[in-house]
Amino acid sequence: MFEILRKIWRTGTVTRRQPLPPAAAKYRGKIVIDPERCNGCLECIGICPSGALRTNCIQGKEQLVISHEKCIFCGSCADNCAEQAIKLTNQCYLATRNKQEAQER
Amino acid sequence: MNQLSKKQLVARLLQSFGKKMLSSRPVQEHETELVIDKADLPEVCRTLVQEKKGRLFTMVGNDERELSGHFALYYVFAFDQLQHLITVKTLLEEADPVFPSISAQIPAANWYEREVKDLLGLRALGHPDRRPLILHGDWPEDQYPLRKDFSAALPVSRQPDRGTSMQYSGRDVTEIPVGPIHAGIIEPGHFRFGAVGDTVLHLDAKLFYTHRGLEKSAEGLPLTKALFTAERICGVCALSHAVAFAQAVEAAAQLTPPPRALYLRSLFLELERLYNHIGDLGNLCAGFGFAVGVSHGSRLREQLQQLNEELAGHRYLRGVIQLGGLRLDVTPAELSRLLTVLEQVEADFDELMDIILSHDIALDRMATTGVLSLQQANDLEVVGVAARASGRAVDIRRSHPYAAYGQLDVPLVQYTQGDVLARFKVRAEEVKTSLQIIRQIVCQIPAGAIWAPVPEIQPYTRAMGWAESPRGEVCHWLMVGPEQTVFRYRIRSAAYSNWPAVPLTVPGNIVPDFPLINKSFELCYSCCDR
Repeated sequence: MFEILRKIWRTGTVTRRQPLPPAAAKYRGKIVIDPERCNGCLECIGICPSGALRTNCIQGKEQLVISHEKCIFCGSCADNCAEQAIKLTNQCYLATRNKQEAQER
Repeated sequence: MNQLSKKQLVARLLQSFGKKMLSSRPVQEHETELVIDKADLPEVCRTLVQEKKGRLFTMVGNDERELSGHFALYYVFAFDQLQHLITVKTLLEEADPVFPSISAQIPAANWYEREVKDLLGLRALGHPDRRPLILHGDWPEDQYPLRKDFSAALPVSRQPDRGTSMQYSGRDVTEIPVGPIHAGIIEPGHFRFGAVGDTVLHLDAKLFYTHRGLEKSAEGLPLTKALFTAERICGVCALSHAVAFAQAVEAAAQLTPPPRALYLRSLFLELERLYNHIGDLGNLCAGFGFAVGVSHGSRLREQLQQLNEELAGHRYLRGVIQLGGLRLDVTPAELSRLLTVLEQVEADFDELMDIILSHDIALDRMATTGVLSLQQANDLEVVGVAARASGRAVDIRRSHPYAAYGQLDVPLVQYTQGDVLARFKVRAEEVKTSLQIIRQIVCQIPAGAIWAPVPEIQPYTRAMGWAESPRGEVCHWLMVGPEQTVFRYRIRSAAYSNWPAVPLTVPGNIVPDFPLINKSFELCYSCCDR
């Protein structure tokens, strides 16, 4: 009994309160597209294994958009983008109350 | 053993077949293929297993009608002493897609033969169990999904369930159906106990509720994309499956990845084993309601998964493997951080083992519970932790080294009792050996490239890849199609080999011991069901 109490005292609280610290720097999280850099070669759409990338007409302009619901965070698109228009970030808190937000970038 | 004597030994292995062999050829460095007539199948397989001491590694049915006008069956036998694989191939006519069953003599073939019936319509004559295995009773009997003329896009109309579960009769036998939906976070499986009082008389397990048709959906995919399918076969053995698939592709392309990539693969494979084993040991305590062990185990597992995230960018080590090597490198700073974390984890782990193994109730519940005998383990070709706890020395890291395991010292952990406690102890000792292996890797890891381009693969080349996942060996059989796509992909996971053994260990135990026995095997449902 004494041993257990001593242990509890020594270990302290293991669970952590939100907001939690950001994920590790290498973490493959949310994909961000820079529409300024994208040259529209659309190679990434062919590479994406889960079909998360597509083009959409935004304000009269064809733009690359990503569905965060479909994305599997493999980072193939970012690896293969010649213009470095697609970047992986370490954002891991992607839960949303609105499905539409997850659909488009 | 030098190359020449190995060649002679393989030749000696095959000479007894004489005229039965229609042809034989070396496929890869480690594999010989012989083609026989289907009528000779039982005798050749029986000789290979019972006299030559081979073990059934995997069995694959393939629709090769567009290539040769036939269906083909490949029985792969592993010879651990020789580090060699022997594939027995036989062709089946489209008009007469039946072949003699070998299940009565080689019980391990049971599921494989039922599977080719369900998915390809190739019927094993004389099979002792004619119930469907994978597609259950509501699937129409004349639809075979893995035939090339079956389109996965078309809906299939279901029929009334034929009722394929075991029925128990007798006045004192109580039938207890459990599942397929369970309390807690486990996957679906239907278990039907025939119990007399508290003691289980018989257990019937019906699985394959999570059959997703991954093998069908992988067909036609480019190899680079199929890798992502391989990573998603299993939640917790993602890396082992990815490595096995990558090795199959590399074997087909006759490519050896750079040494650093091989070492890093071993490193990540051991990290996968560590977090799984420690988490499983903790979870096993839930089988006897010992919450301290569960929490302690999950805390350590969390620490290891955060380490995975730091090193590989993913808690379950997905996205690490690339065909021809790895996608990411590890810096020396990360390696020293790895050693620091592992030192902390090891100290805490030793303490956890001390707590559990000095707990009388824990020992009482685990010892002599759910015994898998060596005979049963050998007959069903059980692999992994469960095999090694029953005295069956099977560890593919030692017998057919892959990645960097050929250069590393991999000790064999073995117990003979075959009960829950033995499986517990095998896992606990394997945690220690994994830590040893990781330290060896960190000392020996060479510098250099982590990736080499995969050369073009000739269409219809076939190859195999394997890895020792935390649950046992996984084997991926791959035939490459035209334009670097998948023609046929057969995944044989550790769970697929071990599930048939679980129901054998339960009779004689009390019903409340079943969750404990099940947890001691810790088998995955989705990589069995695919």
